Amino acid sequence: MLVDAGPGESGGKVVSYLRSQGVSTVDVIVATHPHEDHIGGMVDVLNNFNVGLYVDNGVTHTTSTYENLVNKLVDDQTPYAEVKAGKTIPFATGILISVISPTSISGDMNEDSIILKITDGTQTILLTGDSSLTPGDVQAQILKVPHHGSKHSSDSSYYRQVNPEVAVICVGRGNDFGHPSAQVIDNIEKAGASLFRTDNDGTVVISTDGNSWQVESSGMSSSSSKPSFQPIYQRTISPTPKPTQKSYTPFVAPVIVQPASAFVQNSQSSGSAPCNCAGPDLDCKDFSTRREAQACFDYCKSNGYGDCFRMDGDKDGKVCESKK
Amino acid sequence: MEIASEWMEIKTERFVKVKSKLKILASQKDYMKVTVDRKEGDFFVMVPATGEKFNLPVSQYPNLKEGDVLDISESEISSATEEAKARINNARKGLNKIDL
Repeated sequence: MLVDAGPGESGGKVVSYLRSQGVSTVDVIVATHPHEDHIGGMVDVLNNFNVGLYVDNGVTHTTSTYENLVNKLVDDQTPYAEVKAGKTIPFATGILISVISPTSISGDMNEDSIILKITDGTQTILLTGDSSLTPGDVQAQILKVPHHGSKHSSDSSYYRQVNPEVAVICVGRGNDFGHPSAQVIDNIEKAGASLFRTDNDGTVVISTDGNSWQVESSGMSSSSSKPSFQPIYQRTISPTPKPTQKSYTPFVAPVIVQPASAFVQNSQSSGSAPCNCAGPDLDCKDFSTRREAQACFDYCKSNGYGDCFRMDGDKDGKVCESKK
Repeated sequence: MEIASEWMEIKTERFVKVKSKLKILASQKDYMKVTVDRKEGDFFVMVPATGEKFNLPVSQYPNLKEGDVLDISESEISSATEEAKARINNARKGLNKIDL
């Protein structure tokens, strides 16, 4: 399911990201409301994926962005549904997607946004579009902060009601509008939630198994002018009792082939593995001594890899016997 | 084309500002249609029929509102809002609507 597609200039990024995740069909698209910064990328998505169902709140707009989207949905005859509060959106078994707003259309496009409450086991995610409303029980572990964290989007009472453990602000870097506001950030921090913002954190990925959650973010290169999902750093957090301290973990670089002796050195000094049993391939000449090779063999064998480097040709449990 | 009364207050100099932006975007075209997508902070975000969106300060255009479609030509700014609404509502009739 895709909820909103960002502005027109981000359509390509959304498509690239979905492709990078192996997505070929989007079962459900939800457009929270028809502002350009939420539906601008939709036509790109519809052009590139099979879409099972398109959902919005029925509010129309007069922009070319909206008109082009309607024309695309009509041309493709994509199944289309309008929803209001009280509806549920069919999705995977065990995951309840409830529309909790709008109850009726007020004429304020932001406040008329579809608010989705997604429940998986004990975990709840609140996706708010640009609406600052709090209809009914809005408690959620994960919150997509309303309206890009704009000045009047969410006061301290909002965060008392939602009581999020993680708050994510979707906002463009260096935008013209001053989003997010310092007051909203302060409200989030005072509520004890961990804050992620896409202008600083890049792509934010939230995972849940229904019992717990994990949030990962990958910063994007600020020097690259091309859309990129290559992580510069990673930041990962999991539930702890209301985390108050956040740390940035430096990005772990791709596995670099190292001579086996380096692993042995690590093993002696820090107790880590004597070699990498999953590869790359090693043979006796990669080890300085027979003892190092034996340590690697014993380690891999005890961890279920067997003689993964085929160093025990005579199957006697002793490797590289010609080596000192 | 009927000129919407609320736009009568748009001063000539402001009109020129809008038009000059659109002239750049519109290139060889004689006119341009542009819609107020939304109010974002102190700005209106304007989405033209073709070309890149741009912002206008709310303070300078107090009579604009979300959904207004401006039809800007050499000589006048007129409303194309109703025309756009009718066209889009007509297009929506072709949607493959289902009930959930």
